[in-house]
Parts: sequence; structure tokens; C-alpha cells
Amino acid sequence: MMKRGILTTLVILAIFTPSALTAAPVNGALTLHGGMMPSLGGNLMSYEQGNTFGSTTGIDGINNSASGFDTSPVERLLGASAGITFKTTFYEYFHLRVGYNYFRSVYGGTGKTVYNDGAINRSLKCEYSMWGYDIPVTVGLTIPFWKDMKISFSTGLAYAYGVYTYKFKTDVPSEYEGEFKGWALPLVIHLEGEYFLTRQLALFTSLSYYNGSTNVLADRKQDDDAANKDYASIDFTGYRYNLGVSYYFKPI
Amino acid sequence: MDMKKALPHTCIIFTAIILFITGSMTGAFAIGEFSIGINGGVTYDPNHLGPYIDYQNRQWKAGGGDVSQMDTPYAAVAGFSMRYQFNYFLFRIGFHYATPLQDIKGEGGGVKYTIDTYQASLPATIGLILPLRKRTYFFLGGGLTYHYAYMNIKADPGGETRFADAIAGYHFMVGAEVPVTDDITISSEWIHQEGRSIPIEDDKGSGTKYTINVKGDILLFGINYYISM
Repeated sequence: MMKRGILTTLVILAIFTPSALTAAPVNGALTLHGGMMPSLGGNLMSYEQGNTFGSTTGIDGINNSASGFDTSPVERLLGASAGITFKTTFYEYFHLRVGYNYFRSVYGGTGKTVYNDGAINRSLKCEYSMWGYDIPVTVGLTIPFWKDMKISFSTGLAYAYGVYTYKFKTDVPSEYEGEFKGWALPLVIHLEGEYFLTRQLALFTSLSYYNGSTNVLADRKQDDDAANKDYASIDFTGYRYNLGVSYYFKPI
Repeated sequence: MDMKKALPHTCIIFTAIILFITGSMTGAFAIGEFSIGINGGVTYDPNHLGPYIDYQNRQWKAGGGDVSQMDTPYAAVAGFSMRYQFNYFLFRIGFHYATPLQDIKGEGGGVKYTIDTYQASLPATIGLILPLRKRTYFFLGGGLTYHYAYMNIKADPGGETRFADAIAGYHFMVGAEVPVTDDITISSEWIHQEGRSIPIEDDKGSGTKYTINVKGDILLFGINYYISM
């Protein structure tokens, strides 16, 4: 209920704030950007990983080795993102940002490990992946300095939607597949810098930090009656680095 | 609090105060400024209960039956700070208090859980200022924090456990500040803090031990007043 209340407030703010600012000295900018997200999804922990494979720390704890087994490390996910952001600056120092980012895992999450199945060790092939999108809304301060630079610092919340999937294949053989879909409202801290090539066009770079995760979600790939139905939350916590280009509607 | 913990905690507070006073005295020979501020904001997952809540929710869900999950909480934060700055340096001591906006409640396996928690913190910060115009700054810094963290877990049926302790930690912060008038500014900042207790015994006498982790991120907006000297 609280998350829905916050979401409703965000939507109302996003709709009405720009109209309330029309009397203020306002400029707008559109930014296209792409970037990377280290450790996408955090440790990707789920109930089944603890219950069946003995990992209480998800992808970190799934890595094991034993003599006679060919293993390769299962690394945390590296995500790539692309997005667009609209920024309104007003009264020189203040700004409101609304963005859209699409992201997906592009590296890591696959490998071979070993788990202990009762008295014997077994080989386990792992595949983790994640994709999603988010809509961050932040407010903050913009400070122009020298003639051609702006640094902005803002904080707020994002609506973040994610889909996390995994596949575990043992040498029994048996397969475990899981898919979790959900949304959350992570806190967002955003620091960005712009270097103006012309009075309206700027190179853009940013560092964002998200902190938040969904509730525990039920696995969507299993029937409700399945004995091995799994449960996990989707963690959006982490850093995001972006590079891009900004276009200001009015010359700075 | 036993002596083993009281000693480092006392040292941290003492060091923070000495640093602040020394910084202020040193600054008397420079062109320095004093300011005081009040601030408010929000944090997610105070006292890092998220992993505990997540674990409990997963166990309930896997156990089947009706489950009402506990939410990892957002918390309101309020506090104040005193700052002395000269040239490119700042020294700051502050206080902030964080408590969830709503009770943390959940039910699974026929057991109702209610968690009550709060955190009070005294951060002492040394930082660098990037002055851009008069009263217009970016700043970043770090320092030591003295926390008091509390959590009470009530299970019905089942009883109550309570853990509370003082915790020494550290923090980093980055922020920006712009003028509203000649003497008043508004600021926005992010504080990332780390710290954990040693295993604390349940105050209620169950014998259970728990380690409180104060790791977290705090977003703060502030109003600051510069005192003319």
C-alpha cells in the first residue's frame, strides 16, 4: 500500500510540477544515453538455491569446486542500459529529471559448479539473466561553472520493473528453471556532468546509485502445485554509469 | 554497554569533538564561516533489515498457506548539523534520527510479526568544498559515525526479542548547496554509511544473539543559516 501511495504521489508530481513552473525562468533538455550496470540484480538469491544447492548467498555462494569436476566461475551479472531523460531547469540552480532506462544483462551469470547432493558431489550448470526498465524521477541542484560546464546532483525515486530468470542443470540429469517478475520503488541518487560543445549541445556523463528491491516473488515458470516452486526478490540496488548527449531547448 | 565497546565509542566521540574544535581554532586564522542547519530526508532499509525480512518472507512463501509479506521499510530522517568551513575544507558534526514511515508487519505460517526499529546517528565529517560562487558549493567528505540502533521483533504467538546497542561506523557523503538569501542556503546530500555491532544478546533474555548492521544510504535536504562573525 505504501509503495502504491508513493507511486501515485510521483505521478501527480510529474504531471503537475512542470505546469507549476511555467511562471519561472525555465529551460528544458533532452538527453540520450547508454551505459553499464555492474552487479545487476545483486546476488540473485532464491529459496531453491539455499534449499537444494546449499548457497545462502545466491550467485556468490553457488561457486564451488571439487576434485574430478570441471568448473568455471559464475560471475555476477554486468548489465548494459540505454535510455532517454527529460530535464527541466528552473531558477538557474534547480532541476527536475524524468527518465526512462531499458537494461539487460550482457555478461556473466553462466558457468559450471559443483553442489553436494546428500553424500555425493554433482556437477551443476548455471545460467542467470535479468532485464527490465526503470523510470527515475529526481529533483536537485544544478551548478554551472566556468563557461561551459554544469554539474547536477539530484535525488528521488524510480519505478523499476525487472524480470529475473535462471536455469540450473544437474548431471542427474534434472533441470530447475525460475522466472520472477516484479516492481519496486528504489531510492535514486544521481550525479551528472555536462560539457557544452555549443550553447545548446552538451556531452553528458553520469553516475547513479539505486537502492531498493521487490518483495519476495513466486516463480512464474512453475505450476502452483509444483513441489520445487521457488521464491526470490529482485534487487535493483547498484551503480549505473552513463554517457550521452544532451540537447537544450534554449541556449544556456 | 560493556567496557570493551565503551572504550572505542568514547574515543570516537572524543576524537570527533577534538577534530571539530581544532579545525575551528585553526580556521580562526583563515577566512572561515560557521553555519547551522536542519535537514530532513529519507532512507531505505534502516538497520539493514532487508536480508532478514527477505529470508523470513521466502521461508513463509515456501511453507505455503496464506502469507502477508513484511515490506522492507522506507524511513523518514530528520536532524541538524553544525559546520565550520574555511578555504576548501569543512568540518561538520550532526545528528539525525531515522525511523520507518510505517510499522513493519507480516504474517505467515500462523505467526504474526511486528518489527519496530530506529536509528540515531552522530556523524563527524571532514570534507572538501568546491566553491563555485558565493555560497554555492559542491562538497564531499567522510568521517566517523556514532550510532545507536534499536530493533524489537514481536512474534505472536512466540514472544518478543529486543536488540539495541551503540555502534561505531564510518560514512561518506557528497552534496551540493545553493543560496536562497545572503545568509540562508539550501542543500541536498547523500550519505552512505557502514558499520555493524558485535553479536548482541536479546534484552528480553531469550539468549538469542543478533548483529545489527547500520549499512545504508540517506538522502537529505537541508536549510542552512550562516552565522555572521
